Amino acid sequence: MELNLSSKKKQWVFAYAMLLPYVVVYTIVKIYPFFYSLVLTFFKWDIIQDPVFIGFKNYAKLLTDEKFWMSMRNILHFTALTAVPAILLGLITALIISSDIRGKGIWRVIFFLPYIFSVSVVSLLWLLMYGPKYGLFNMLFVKMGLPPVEWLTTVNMAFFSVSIATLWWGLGFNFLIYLAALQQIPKDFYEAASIDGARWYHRIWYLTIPLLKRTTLTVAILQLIASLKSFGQIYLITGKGAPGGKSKVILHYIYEKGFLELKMGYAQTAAFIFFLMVFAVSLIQLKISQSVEDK
Amino acid sequence: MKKVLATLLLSAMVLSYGFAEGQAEEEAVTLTGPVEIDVWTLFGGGEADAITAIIEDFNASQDLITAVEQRAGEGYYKKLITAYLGDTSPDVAICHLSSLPDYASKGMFMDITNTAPQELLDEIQPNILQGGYYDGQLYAIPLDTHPYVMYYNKDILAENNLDVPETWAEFEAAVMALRDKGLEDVNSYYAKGAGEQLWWGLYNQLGGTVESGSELVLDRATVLKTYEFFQDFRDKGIFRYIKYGDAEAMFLNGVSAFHTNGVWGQYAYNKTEGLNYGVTNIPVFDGAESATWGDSHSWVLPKNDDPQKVLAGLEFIKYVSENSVEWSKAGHFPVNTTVLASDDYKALPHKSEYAHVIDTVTLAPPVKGWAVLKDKFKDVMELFILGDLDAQGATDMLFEEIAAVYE
Repeated sequence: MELNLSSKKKQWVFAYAMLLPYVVVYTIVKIYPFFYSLVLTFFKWDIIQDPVFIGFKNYAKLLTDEKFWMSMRNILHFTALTAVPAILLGLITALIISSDIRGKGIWRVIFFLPYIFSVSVVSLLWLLMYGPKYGLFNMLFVKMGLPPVEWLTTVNMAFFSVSIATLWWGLGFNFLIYLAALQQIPKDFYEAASIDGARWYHRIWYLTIPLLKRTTLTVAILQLIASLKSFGQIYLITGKGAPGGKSKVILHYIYEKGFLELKMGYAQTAAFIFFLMVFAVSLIQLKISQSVEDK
Repeated sequence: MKKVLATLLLSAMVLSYGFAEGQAEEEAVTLTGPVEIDVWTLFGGGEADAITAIIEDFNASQDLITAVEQRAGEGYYKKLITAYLGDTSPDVAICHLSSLPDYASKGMFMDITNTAPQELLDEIQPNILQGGYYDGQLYAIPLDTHPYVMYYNKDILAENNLDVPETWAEFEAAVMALRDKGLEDVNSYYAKGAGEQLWWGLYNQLGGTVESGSELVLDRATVLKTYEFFQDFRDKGIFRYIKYGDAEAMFLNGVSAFHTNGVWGQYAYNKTEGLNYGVTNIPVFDGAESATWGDSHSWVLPKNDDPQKVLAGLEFIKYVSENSVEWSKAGHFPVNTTVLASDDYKALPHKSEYAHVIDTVTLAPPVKGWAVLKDKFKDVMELFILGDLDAQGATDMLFEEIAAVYE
């Protein structure tokens, strides 16, 4: 069949045809559920019986729901504890591997290995170490004559303990991205700097870090979103938000409202407000990255 | 006109004939051909192996019904809801009695008031069978009950010339006596879990009532009394913050003299060499009637329009109930009174020591939302035992949490 199209048009048709399968799947599994859940924020729905339209009641209630705001504050607390250290650790470990250190292969495995574990494995591992009486840390502390530490029984300590576990677990990802970026920096830059008399810390500060700017922006966006979306390890290590549910984070709150209390519309409302927050953060970062690239 | 009349008459005849046929069929449904039923269970570990063995025995015992087990484990109730919505519900499924009102009220299970075999219902321990009813109709047939009990280390008590405490005053005296002799971790229990399991028993021992209705309405004065008791024991260091794994380790390793947990704990204790233990009811307040928390794994029949499968399901439930000695080896308390009275059952280790506990089991009330409420009870207890709340604060928080669940 001969289609009377210009070659440019043909290219467009071909391109769209190639995109179609992805667009269809993406629409079904992402776009449609997103708008459907947005509609549900105006309903009261227990999944089993028919939804009941209640207007803006879910929003009104959510704004005064202390538990919702507590879980929002908690995730910001957790993000503050994990995001920047995770980026720094990724960079430092990548710098170590790129240096002339011996046994690079072993170090690479040590830094990357935890990343392949599943959330339950990681949580169980750290739970065994954080146990109040028979945990590894406290048993060591007591052996050394130190008082045992209450790793998970206050909100601040619980977030500190879970953050350590999370940093250890997630290190591999940022490490890998930085390592790849470091390998793209031409060696001549460093040689030239050395000839000019730059010490190693000068080279890192004046060469490496500025050259990694774009990578750092990418890592920062991904890390911030990852931290904000944390749920599994916090849920498992604190044992559903110990002490007394005070360390629940926003995704835990949404999960509980939706799947345990079967208040789907309300859970969707919380999820939507959280989405707006993450979206705003991403937009700000995008703006920053654009202005950086413009320079 | 004649034609019309004739047609009307004919259709009336056909209709009434069909109607009578239908009625006759309904009355005379018997199990005819080979039937396959899907059975969903939520067990893991030793329990899962025990139920699978019984199901295999059932299949071998007759040719008419084949039960196909699906271990639906983690996220069980969510799967049950999803299956219901997708019209792929199993024919028979396990449901905790404490969760029954949530699903029965939404029409997920069949009303079996008139279909359940009376001879089976007559066999079931009455205070547990009661929990199978919601709104006056029967939806579940209990397989077991798993009450909260007290374990004690016989060796430690004998070495120190102590009797098994019957009351909380005696319990306190025994703990203090052991502590005076230099024992530090005398009492072990899962502190957070006690917020539901120990607390509910004490609330009932103190005569706490629950108003009838589908929402939980407790009596504030009694709730306060229970937390005052906990506060007293907390301040004396008898109730401390202990995690589940640690509490179990303390008892298994012979460190603690007293240990409270559900009857399921025995499964591990019986396998532990050198642990010489006994098991009985939790202590009682002076002058109060014994009461303890208990839940029950029960069988329900999710909505099903195939009468053959319903019959087969009930037949299956009956068989498992009559053969629940095997099930009790995994730690639970059978509720079939014939099984309870059998020599096979009584011959099992420790079973006769706590046989009396079954009469004191107080199931969760028939209110909606217990599965959510119990997590709130546990949260309150965790904060309370950690010292963040006093009795009044715990009472206030509990009522706030309950109110929030029903908002």
